[in-house]
Amino acid sequence: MKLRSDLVLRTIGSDHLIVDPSQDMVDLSTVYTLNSTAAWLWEQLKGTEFELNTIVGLLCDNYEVDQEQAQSDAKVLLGDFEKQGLLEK
Amino acid sequence: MTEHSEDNKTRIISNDLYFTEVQRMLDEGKEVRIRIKGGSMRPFIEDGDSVLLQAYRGGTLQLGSNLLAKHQGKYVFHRYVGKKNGQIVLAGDGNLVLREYIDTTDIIAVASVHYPQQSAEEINLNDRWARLRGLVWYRIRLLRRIVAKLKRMV
Repeated sequence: MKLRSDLVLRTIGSDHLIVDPSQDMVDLSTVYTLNSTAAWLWEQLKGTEFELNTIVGLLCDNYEVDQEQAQSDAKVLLGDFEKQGLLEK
Repeated sequence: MTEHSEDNKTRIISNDLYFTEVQRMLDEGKEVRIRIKGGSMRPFIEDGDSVLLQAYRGGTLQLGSNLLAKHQGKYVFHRYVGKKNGQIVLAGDGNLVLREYIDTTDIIAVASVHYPQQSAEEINLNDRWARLRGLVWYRIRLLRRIVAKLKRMV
């Protein structure tokens, strides 16, 4: 799977939000925000083909989490990305 | 890890930061759709409805139009109801007394379309009828105050 390439991650202060600036009309009536870990992951995954294990690997290599916790966090994140239409179809 | 701020209760990013982004998009020449919070534009715009904004770059303002502006450090989305001492007077449709006095440089954007949350309708905010009914609603504030008082007494 892949992240939608038309979406951009903006960081304002300590908040990270995902916007779709590619259109002439930008919809900010529904805004997706990411915490800093998710925002970091977004940057790592941007433009690449990835799967659940890619996220698990990234989390384990860069954060102090065990495999099991990383697996469950990655699942939640992917589920959210999918539900909110942030992945390419 | 992701949070969805469509619901007002779950809004976690501050208003200031949010409007910084709105402003940036407007500056890039884009139209921006935002969600309206609160009831200060009732009965015409309900809490949760959204509107489409275009940057205001000076020029003539149509009386009765809906503006996003900065007032005393806060962002307001209210109706342009008149001018006084060279200042722009704004009023929320749902407010009975309050008015905001701002300069044209405080105006950020003008709204063009209203998307009610409860229907698929798209309302043109700048047609004559929409502006006129908003202005009439403002003019009868005194009457509305009396009605509100009577309602409280019942």
